[in-house]
Amino acid sequence: MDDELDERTREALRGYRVPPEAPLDEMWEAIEERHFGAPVVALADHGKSRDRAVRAERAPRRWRLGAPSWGVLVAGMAAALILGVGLGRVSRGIAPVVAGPPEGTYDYWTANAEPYRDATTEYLGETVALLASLPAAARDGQPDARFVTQAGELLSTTRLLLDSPAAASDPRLKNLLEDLELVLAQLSQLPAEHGKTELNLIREALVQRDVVPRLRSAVVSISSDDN
Amino acid sequence: MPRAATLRDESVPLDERALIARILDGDRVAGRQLYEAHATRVHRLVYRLCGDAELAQDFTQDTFVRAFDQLSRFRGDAAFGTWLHRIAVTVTLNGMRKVKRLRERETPLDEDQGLGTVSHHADPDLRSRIAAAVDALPEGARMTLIMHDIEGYTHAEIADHLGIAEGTSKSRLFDARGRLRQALAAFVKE
Repeated sequence: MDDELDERTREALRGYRVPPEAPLDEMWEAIEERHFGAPVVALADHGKSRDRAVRAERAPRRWRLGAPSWGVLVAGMAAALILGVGLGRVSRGIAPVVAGPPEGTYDYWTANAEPYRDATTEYLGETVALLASLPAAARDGQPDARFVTQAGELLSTTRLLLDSPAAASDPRLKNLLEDLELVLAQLSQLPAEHGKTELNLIREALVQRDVVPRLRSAVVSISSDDN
Repeated sequence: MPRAATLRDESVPLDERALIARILDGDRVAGRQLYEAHATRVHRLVYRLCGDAELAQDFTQDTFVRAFDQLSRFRGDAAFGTWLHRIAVTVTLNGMRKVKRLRERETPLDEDQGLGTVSHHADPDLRSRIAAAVDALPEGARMTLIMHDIEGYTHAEIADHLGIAEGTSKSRLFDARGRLRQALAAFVKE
């Protein structure tokens, strides 16, 4: 059976969402600044860059999480809530794995996702390590740059895992990853200044919920299942 | 290899491996070179998928930032372009879902948010009907149709980028074309 579209339709299809010219310079400036750090700006260009920065400040990216206007308190409370709910799911959701899949929803762990399990184990381990270092970061008062960077990297991994077949086949894992994504997004966007309050709020939530030990046991459960 | 050829501008001869090594050493000039070799095509795909200029810009930026951040993990098993486009698709899909969630949860934002909107062609011709029909497709079918029939990706590439089986890509395309044909049936007869 010929599945091809006719030429007229194909031609019209090519006109679907014709992309505008890519703003290559503008995009590169943002990429350069975010990855390599602020570029060295020539004196004559300074005003232009400042204007751009002001514009960016006035028009924060719409889809980003944790916009500054939410305020420190709301962000902290959200983090506390999400951490509690999300990581509570870890201990509840992963524990049965040791005894075997309870209701057929854990095909992900047992059948087809060895690489994803390894990646998830590694990712959870790194997340444990990051969250375990939170009290020290809060005590020091300023989020360490490496801490924030690592949160950003884990955030990237979270998003990749979110789009993996593992997450697609396991709604509970997907929910957990979505929750962790929000937490890591907040940690990765901690401001260099005034980060202490937010860190303390997140740290308190971690202590109250006994989160790090529970997350650790989740890692152990997956690892032992692996052996 | 045709796959790599479809994913990078052939007019830009690059020793990508050397560029990657330099980027890992913090060389921003090398970063720019690698960016220029791929940015247009990445932006183009991202725009086709999300249909919003501002989001396309954001997602393209995020794609490159993430790729550079994770460059040390790039093993070279596939072409850099393949790896990059996989990230682009992931970033775009996640970003679109996030935007959707936020828009559902929060008060309406700008009026011009075009996620899933019809293209800018206002004339009631075949093109605008197709745009509406494509927008109405299920997400998976729409992605596959855009990537295969508009952007020229192979089923292997689509499967790789979307994390699905090649057969799924084929059946999604079949489904998308069928729905499109159905939606346009009356119009095409004219």
